[in-house]
Amino acid sequence: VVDEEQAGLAARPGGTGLAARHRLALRLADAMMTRPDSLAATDCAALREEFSPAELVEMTIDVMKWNAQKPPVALGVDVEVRAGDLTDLVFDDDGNWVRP
Amino acid sequence: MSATAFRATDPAGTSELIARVLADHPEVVAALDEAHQAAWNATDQRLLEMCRIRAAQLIGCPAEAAARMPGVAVDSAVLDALPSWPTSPLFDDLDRAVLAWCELFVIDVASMNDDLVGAVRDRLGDAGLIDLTNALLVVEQRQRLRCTWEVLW
Repeated sequence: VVDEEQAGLAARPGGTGLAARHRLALRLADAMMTRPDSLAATDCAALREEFSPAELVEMTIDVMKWNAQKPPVALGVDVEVRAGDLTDLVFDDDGNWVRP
Repeated sequence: MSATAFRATDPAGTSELIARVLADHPEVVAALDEAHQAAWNATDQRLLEMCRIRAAQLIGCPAEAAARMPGVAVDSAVLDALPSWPTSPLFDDLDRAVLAWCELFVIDVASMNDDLVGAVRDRLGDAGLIDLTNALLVVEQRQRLRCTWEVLW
């Protein structure tokens, strides 16, 4: 569970204020969404030290999945779920998004 | 998919890498392959091949940039000239509209603007634009996954 405070910290450059483990995960996501080869060797080593191979695979698949938001953004149809309001992100037991 | 559907192979080896890394999750491998096949069957394959290679150049995925999709008829001189598409005479108006749109999709989709989208929509129609958008997402994300794994391991 990521609360509003953590979400706010994640939005800062470099994830300042987050735990080292979470900052590493953000660096992985940032690199994957920009230039994967920008991930420093030291970060790769730290990621392998901090996370299991299965966790790294899961995170990268998750990032790929969430990038499915790109077509709606590109097509200008990424409408707010509730106009003007932040909405909780809720998933069911199968990992499917539940519309609030 | 019909019996005559285009069968997208993967000369860059990305499919093999995905299958190897996700060997314990065959259902995920199958879903990703299904999306890959659907992408190549939903769109103009020549346009998608140009987008695939240009995306690989921008993302930094040399194996994908060097590979050529078998069965897709694109002049090799055109593919070699992709980095200079804005000025090269080898590209027509449709190519340029698609490549400009493709580049922004790959680099900074939030900056997409109506002019770029409209230039593609005017030539491909609404359905063509939507199909190409989703197809580009598939080929782009496969490259990002591959390159990230290659950097990590």
